[in-house]
Amino acid sequence: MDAKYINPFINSVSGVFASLGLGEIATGNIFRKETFICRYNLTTILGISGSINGNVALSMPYDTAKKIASAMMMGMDVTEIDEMSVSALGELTNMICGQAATEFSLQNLVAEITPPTIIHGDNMKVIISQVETTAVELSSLLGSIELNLGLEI
Amino acid sequence: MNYIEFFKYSVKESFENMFGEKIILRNETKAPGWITSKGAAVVVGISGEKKGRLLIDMCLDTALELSKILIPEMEDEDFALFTIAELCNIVSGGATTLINDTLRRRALRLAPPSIFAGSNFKLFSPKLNSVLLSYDTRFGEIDFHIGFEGE
Repeated sequence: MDAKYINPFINSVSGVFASLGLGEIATGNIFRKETFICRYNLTTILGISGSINGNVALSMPYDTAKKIASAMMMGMDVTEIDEMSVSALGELTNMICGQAATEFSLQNLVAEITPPTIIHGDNMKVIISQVETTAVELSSLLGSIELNLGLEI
Repeated sequence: MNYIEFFKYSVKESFENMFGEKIILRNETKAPGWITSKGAAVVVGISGEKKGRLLIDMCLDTALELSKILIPEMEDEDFALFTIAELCNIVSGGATTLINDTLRRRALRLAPPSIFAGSNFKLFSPKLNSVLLSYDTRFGEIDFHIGFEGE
């Protein structure tokens, strides 16, 4: 996948984390997946339509998800994945994809976003694109996150 | 505008055209917040004037039986998942086309389907008010969760 489609998402994860006071993001490996098997227990997913069509998924362990939700809710204790914590994680995904969509608009690309869905469980198979999925490993102070881009370009 | 009727029409048309089988609406109710999947689920996101999503959920065995109607000799989990992804795509495409034609503008657009499978997983879509349409088919139950923001 061309870097011009990947970089807006990496930039927006860094930008949103910084604006929410969640610390810095370090980018690790970027690799291609035939099928996206969830390494982590929790995934937030959001669709994109317009000049760019596809799905974007943020996948993370429960521990990271709880820490992010807690930080977004002003330090409130998050001991389980409940409606309030997944709403916070959904909002995080919304903000990241919304900011990426703004960056795409500067390249004259339309990217409209759909509402997020949060999925959690064990040994899940997730297919976010029937073309290919590009995965980006990200490290944050709150734990590991995998950004998955399934864009049909 | 009550979008649900358009989805009901599209579910029946799409399912019967795709598989040549009957699908019968058994129950219509407000959908729960958390959805505990039966084993195989597909989500198609909706953007435009009204944001929402269509989520379909069924047992993996039901998905496998449906895929075998299309290619009888094929018994493959991924093919079964792509079959129900196509069903979700066709149902949501049919419903949004009807809605856009009624409104005489391109009000709603679709994202590609995302597919989930596993023995133990839950799904949640914050801020959406959803209706659950539960259908019976010869191969098992199929649930259609249709949700939009602010309805």
